[in-house]
Amino acid sequence: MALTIAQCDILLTLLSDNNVKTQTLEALANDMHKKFEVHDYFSVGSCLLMLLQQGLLETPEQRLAAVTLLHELYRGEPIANTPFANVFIHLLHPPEQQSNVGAPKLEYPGQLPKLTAPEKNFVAQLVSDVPKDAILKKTATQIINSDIVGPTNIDLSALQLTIAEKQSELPHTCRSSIPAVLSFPEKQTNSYLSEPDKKDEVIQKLLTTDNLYRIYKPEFVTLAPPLLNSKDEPVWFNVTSPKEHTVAYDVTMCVPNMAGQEARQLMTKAYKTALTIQQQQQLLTELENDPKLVYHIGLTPLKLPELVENNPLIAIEVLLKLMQSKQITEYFSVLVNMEMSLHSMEVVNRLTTTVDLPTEFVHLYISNCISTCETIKDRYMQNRLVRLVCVFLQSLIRNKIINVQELFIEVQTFCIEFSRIREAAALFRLLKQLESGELGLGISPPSSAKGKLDG
Amino acid sequence: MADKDDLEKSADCVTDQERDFAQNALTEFQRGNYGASLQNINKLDCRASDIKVIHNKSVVEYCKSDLKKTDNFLKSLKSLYVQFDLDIKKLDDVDQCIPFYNHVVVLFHKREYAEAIRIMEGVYKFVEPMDESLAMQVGLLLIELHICTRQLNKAISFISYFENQLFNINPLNVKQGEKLLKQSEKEPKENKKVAQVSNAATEEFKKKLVAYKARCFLMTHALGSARKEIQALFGQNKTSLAAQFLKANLEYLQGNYNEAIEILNNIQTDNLTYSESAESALVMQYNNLGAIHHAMGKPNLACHYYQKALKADIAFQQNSKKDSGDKPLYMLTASKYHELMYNLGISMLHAGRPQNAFDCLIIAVRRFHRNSRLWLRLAECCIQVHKESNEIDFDIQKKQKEMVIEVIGAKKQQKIVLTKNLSKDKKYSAETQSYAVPVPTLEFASLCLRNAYLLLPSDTVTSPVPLLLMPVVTPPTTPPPSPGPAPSTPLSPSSVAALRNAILAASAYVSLCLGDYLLALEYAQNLLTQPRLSGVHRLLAHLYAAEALVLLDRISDALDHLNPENVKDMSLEFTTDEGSSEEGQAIKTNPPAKWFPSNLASAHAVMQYNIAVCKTLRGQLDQAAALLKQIWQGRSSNCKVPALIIMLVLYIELQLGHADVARSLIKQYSLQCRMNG
Repeated sequence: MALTIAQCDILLTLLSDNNVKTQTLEALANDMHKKFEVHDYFSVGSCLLMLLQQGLLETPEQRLAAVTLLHELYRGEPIANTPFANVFIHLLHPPEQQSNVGAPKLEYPGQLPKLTAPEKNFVAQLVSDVPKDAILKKTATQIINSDIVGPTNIDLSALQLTIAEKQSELPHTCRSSIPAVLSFPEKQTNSYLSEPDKKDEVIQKLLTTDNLYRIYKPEFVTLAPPLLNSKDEPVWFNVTSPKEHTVAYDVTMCVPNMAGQEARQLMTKAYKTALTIQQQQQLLTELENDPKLVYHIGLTPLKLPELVENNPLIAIEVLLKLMQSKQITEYFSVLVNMEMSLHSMEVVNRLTTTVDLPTEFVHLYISNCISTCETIKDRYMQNRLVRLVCVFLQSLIRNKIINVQELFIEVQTFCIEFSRIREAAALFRLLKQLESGELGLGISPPSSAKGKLDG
Repeated sequence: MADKDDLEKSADCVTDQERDFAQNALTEFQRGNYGASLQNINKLDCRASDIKVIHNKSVVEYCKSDLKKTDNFLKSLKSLYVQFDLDIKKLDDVDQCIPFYNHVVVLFHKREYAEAIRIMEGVYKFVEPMDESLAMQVGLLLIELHICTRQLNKAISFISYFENQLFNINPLNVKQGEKLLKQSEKEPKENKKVAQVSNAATEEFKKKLVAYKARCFLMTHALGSARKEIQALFGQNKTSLAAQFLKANLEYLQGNYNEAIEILNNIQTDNLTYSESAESALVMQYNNLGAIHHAMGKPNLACHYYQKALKADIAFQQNSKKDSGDKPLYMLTASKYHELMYNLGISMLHAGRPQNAFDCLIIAVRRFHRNSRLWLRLAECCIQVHKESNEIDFDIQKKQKEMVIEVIGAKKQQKIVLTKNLSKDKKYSAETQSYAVPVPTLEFASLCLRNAYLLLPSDTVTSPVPLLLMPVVTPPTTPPPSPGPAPSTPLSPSSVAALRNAILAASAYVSLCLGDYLLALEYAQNLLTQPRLSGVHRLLAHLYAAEALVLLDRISDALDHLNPENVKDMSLEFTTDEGSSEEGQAIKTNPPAKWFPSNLASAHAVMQYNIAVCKTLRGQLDQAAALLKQIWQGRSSNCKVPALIIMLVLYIELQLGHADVARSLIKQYSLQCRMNG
């Protein structure tokens, strides 16, 4: 935020030639503190700096007063913490102006006016921590005309170091700015001699606009990325005939499904009790005759366990017919999760030998069997189940339905846990034989294993 | 359970009278006499608890309203679900599929595809036991739904399932037919008739499958297979509009634009109108012509066609509004407004009208908000509004006029004020306005790009396979369809890679411009780690990374990125030897790509210029000056150099204390231009 035009005028009056020649520096500083609020200090400081840099203060007194005010703005604070600390260092140690003899004079951006020895002395005292009351009681004229010559013995290296450290903490990009306002004196070539140099206008345009803070620093070229070049991006319309998808009328309303009536009744019975062999034959024949009938006999996944328990043979045939159905995974899912029993195992065993079951299914079923055996309380039932599982597993292994490697640890643990049971020991031996490679996997299963399970 | 059994029993006990009423109702329904049909159904009052009666009654009532009372129909379907405790998750009877199917039909026309597919998957499980004609309808809708959601692989697998099922069923049908013949030698005529009817329906179904297949193959860019199917379609019917559009589509995808235009221009558009068929051949024709011209690199002409299509579409909308009351079901979302806006926006963007493009795409994104590329396009609009082209960075004539912004005072006290920044890329926003306001600003672009990145289709083509077996008996819950490219066709893996790179590059650029250089560095580094990278993206990634690193005060790292050796080509696409193997047939429907700078020399000049900036910042002014001199001397019509170079020379001279040199530079390059220009 730059100063308003009114504020600018106040500042300029304060620094007017008359004012600075007659008043002590202290009085000037006090005046400034009275006329500006704390939040304006930075703007005031920037203005002072701009006036100094651009050579807009004509007399040495004005310049010295400006430097003093710049310092007094932040009176009481450690100098290194104030935003304009660097200015004083520059004033005391201006950059070399002559690179070598004969070369044109060097002129740096934002260069500050060159001070005389007494002025330098004064500034050095100003920034050092010696008491300043005495020097501030003087007027600018007095200081400039004082006859102190030669370097002062004030050591500012500590201050310089602090400031340099602070600077180095800033990234390079922040340190690279230069003031954007350049002095560009016109060569007096033509006849506009009488024209004024519009100094007031210059001051106003510099101090009360954004120009006050305008800086330039090196810029990168940042290229914008290209548009994505995409194939087949626009939507192409083809004929889709949306009207073809329309609501459907249920044509089976009040048309009782006579087909398979008997089969359906037999199924209803089959959920509850075992069918006679004759009934079984009848049902299976009907299912055989009409491949779609299996979908219409009222079987649902939820009813499968009852069917398995009561009529495992029917269950097997029905499941085999449903193999192509979308619902088969649900039936499997029920089968694998139903309570383990001789019948369910029989069904799974038959399925494994007839069709390719998903491996996950078989593995899940085995895990289920094993955990059922482990958790069952009834000792007699446990023994019975363990025997069954062992025979079942042997059959699966010998028929190469499962790859025993994938279940090796689980099955082996199972065998060891129930090693008191003969079948488990046998299974364990089988595993060991497999492991040592004694048993060629081509060996056909002994008929006894299957016979036991079927019986 | 007991109740259900009772219900089943009662459904089976039908009096002869009831059977007659039902038969009459069906006949009248098939004839389209919905009033008479309804009267017959109403006579079945005593069967008020029969789900089929209630269901058919609402279907007939709905048909009687010309499919206009959609809300009522949905309501009665839902009360049916409540009354009979129907739930798609627990569906276990094929007889209960019809209400759900009808529900899906309504959802389809309302474009609520995700829900439609969810229900449809439940219905589909019963497709084998289903009545044949219903199974066909279910099949077609299922395929259409998957095409609508661009799950084309699934759609294709459904198509082949239905095809195979048909061929598998046929022998069975023959068997049955033989049996029937044996059984019923008394009435052979009737039986034959039945077989013929069902065969005709099957033939029709097969034809439709062919059309679906052609659409799927075109969308998956399997052009060889598509050609076969389209030929088959022409074999069936030479004047079929559908086949003509598909043929034009094929020619377009093969890059035979003139052939495609010819086919489209010969299409009789009167046969297919919104009012008749819920789709308009005229809109389709204009739109497709637009797409072809876009591919030919004539975006302005494309815009013209899209606008004609939009006009036709809007005219229809207004006409149908005039008709009082509800729209029929199939007209609910017949308008192609959003797709057309999408197309128009893309072409506007390519035509260099980013502001208009933005306005179009912001409308399109309301419907297609899961389309990653569309979000990128929106961001690209914002970027183009911000910076029309990179050419301005190289326009020395124009830039040198901008170096001095003000001359103050006169004579000895004359001052000149240099510009704060010559390049206008950076815009460190201090505005309090939320980023989320949809205006084409870089802030909004940053949000768009975040969406675009999150919605990128995953690299792995296969989505996680739902576990086959679940502990409880529930159909596997389907994950929500992965963010698709709808309304466009799906992206090939290499297109996804290109899309990801473009998103990363744009994100890095926008972050840099907004002053978020940490993020910019992250994006740029991410871009550099991508397995496939075009030459231009490699250049940009290095440039962005370098600039971000400088802002993070890691200048030596930045210099590593700026090594001209890093960039060896200026390709805008992936080099072909990698891509061709995977894509099979090349689809050439992308408009010619263009970008500035277009050659390696200019790109290297930019990199070297940025090196000079780094050196200047480090205080190595002499080295920087030497480098700039080298760049300047290398400039030619082929090798453009950044216009900022003069400003940097000026800066260096000033820093070296050569104020006089600087002044004469300004006089030479800027003040004269100011006076002349």
